[in-house]
Amino acid sequence: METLKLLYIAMGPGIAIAVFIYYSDKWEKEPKKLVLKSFFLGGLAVFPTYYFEGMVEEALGMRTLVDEHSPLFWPKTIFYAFFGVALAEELCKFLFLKAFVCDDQEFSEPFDGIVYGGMVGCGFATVENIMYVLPHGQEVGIIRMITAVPGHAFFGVILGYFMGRAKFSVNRARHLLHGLVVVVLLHGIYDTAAFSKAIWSVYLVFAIILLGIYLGLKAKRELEKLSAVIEFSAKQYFPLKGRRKTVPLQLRDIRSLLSKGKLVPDDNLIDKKTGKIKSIREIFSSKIISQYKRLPKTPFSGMPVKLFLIFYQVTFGLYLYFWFLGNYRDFTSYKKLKLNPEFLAVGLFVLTILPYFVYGFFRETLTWNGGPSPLIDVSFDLFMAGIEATFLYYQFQMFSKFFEKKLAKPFSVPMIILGFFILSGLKKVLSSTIPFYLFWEMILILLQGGVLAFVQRDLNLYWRLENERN
Amino acid sequence: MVRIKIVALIIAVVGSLLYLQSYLNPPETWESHNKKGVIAFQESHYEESEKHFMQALELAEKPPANERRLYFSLGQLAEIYRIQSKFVEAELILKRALAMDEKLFGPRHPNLALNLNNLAVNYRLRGRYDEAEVLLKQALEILEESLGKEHPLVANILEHYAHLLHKMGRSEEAEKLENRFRAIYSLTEVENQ
Repeated sequence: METLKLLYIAMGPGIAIAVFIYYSDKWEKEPKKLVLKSFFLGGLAVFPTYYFEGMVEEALGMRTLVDEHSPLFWPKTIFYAFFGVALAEELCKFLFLKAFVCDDQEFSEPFDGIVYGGMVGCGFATVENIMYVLPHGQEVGIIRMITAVPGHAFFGVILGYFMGRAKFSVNRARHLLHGLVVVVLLHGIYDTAAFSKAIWSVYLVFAIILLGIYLGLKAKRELEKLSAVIEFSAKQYFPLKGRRKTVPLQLRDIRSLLSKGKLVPDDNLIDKKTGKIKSIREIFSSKIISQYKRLPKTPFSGMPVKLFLIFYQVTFGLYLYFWFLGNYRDFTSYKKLKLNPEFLAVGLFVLTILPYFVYGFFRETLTWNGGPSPLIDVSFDLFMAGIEATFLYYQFQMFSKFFEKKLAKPFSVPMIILGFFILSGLKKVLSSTIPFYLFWEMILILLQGGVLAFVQRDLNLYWRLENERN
Repeated sequence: MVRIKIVALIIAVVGSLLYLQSYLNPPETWESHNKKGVIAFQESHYEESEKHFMQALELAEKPPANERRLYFSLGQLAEIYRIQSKFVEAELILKRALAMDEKLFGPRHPNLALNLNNLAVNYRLRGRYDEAEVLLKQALEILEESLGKEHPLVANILEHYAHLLHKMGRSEEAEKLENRFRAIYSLTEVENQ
């Protein structure tokens, strides 16, 4: 039972991010077989890199470095972090992605790099997490859930972003090198901080993870726009081979033919309007993102409530962050709102995670009348539940403005927020020492997801009505 | 492209197999050799124990040198040589331990006195009584100075010294020392009651 619980903690976060990335691909879903293959390739990459890391660790005598006063502590730690770990892991992910996925015909637009790169990152994070959490226990699992797992996943997304751009660019080598350098730098700084054993390193670890998530989400957003342009652009081309000058092809037709293997990125096409000859690499390059602003509004399809509940449950409620981000993105994109979804999601993440570390620090150093009072602990947990509820309140207020004109009976924002706050507070206050702790925790997560499912139900209804209107 | 696939495939297969092999047969470490050495020692398999302690010593000697481990391994090895009556080997090891005592703890530390005593016992068993006496006198001086004249460890050295003096035919001197260490032991017994 204990092993199953640890396995669940180890695998949940990686799979949650993988699902989030998979469902980000709105216009042409990638085949599940290739997606799973990428995930397993990422997991496979753990083993050769671990062997290599073990050799470098042995050669440098890393185990004998007790603290920063040990001889050559910093040169060895930095060398090991950058070349022994970061370069080995990222290069292996890169190599597997390049060799076994990048040339697949299903990799038919730059955004696919985000999906496959993200899958490789999530696969790596999941297998590595199992290897850490099973022997070291729940606490390690919880720390890694918010550090190493999102780190690997979003480093994979960044790597995939550059690989996607490289596949559809004339400067392939430059993009590939650029991607590798960026992820190795981020990963190397992260590992240097993690191995340094210094007090300040905790803050640097979080800063790098947040930067990685932010850059990954930004990269994803950029290629999502490019993907939308490919889907909706009215530009037409004639192929130089096959059905030459008979049937004009739109960009989404070109993507479809690429995924069927009937065209390859090096094929040349003739622009119907200008008569210029361009390769598909040039046509699909990031330059076309400038057309995004001129695209028609595209409503979203929402998400089945059952699927939402499953994601929420299997990820211990971590899916909340992705859901929150996705909702803001859908509305800012559709309603052209002046909001920064990534900033708001990262804000929610920071303000609901970081205070625990700050509070933990003060809890250990300060004493209130001879020791930390349980009342202060409970107050802090309720305060944190309040922060979550506040972020959701503002998002739901935005929904209600749009829903009131469309839906007959939209959900009640105060009721949903109150329900969410009570369940979130109970979940945080719940002591891990009570009998059947995991069972009660899962019940509370299920109820919390159930409350948010009312919002998801109305979102689905809203997007369906918008689709019908268009 | 084919070349990249071949390289990636080789890395995936060979790397995973090597990892699997190292996982199933983890490389021996200083700790694992020590553990195995102690188990073999407890089961009176002295030759096997010696082999493990020697391998632990070799690992401790590898750069970057870890002096604490090295010192510990020298002590283990000296003991296993003594048990097996390998006095020549034990002498070499004890001399290395003495040099490290001075370097790590200084010239007046009880650890140095204890190793001087061990080397003295080694010399006594080999009939090198004069050399043993010099060492015991030195050990006694250090212990009396650092721990006091009535410490049980001082009594222990006195007992060895008395034994040596008997061997050297200086029974009168030996009896004086015997009276001293008996007095310390009885004092310790009273304190323990």
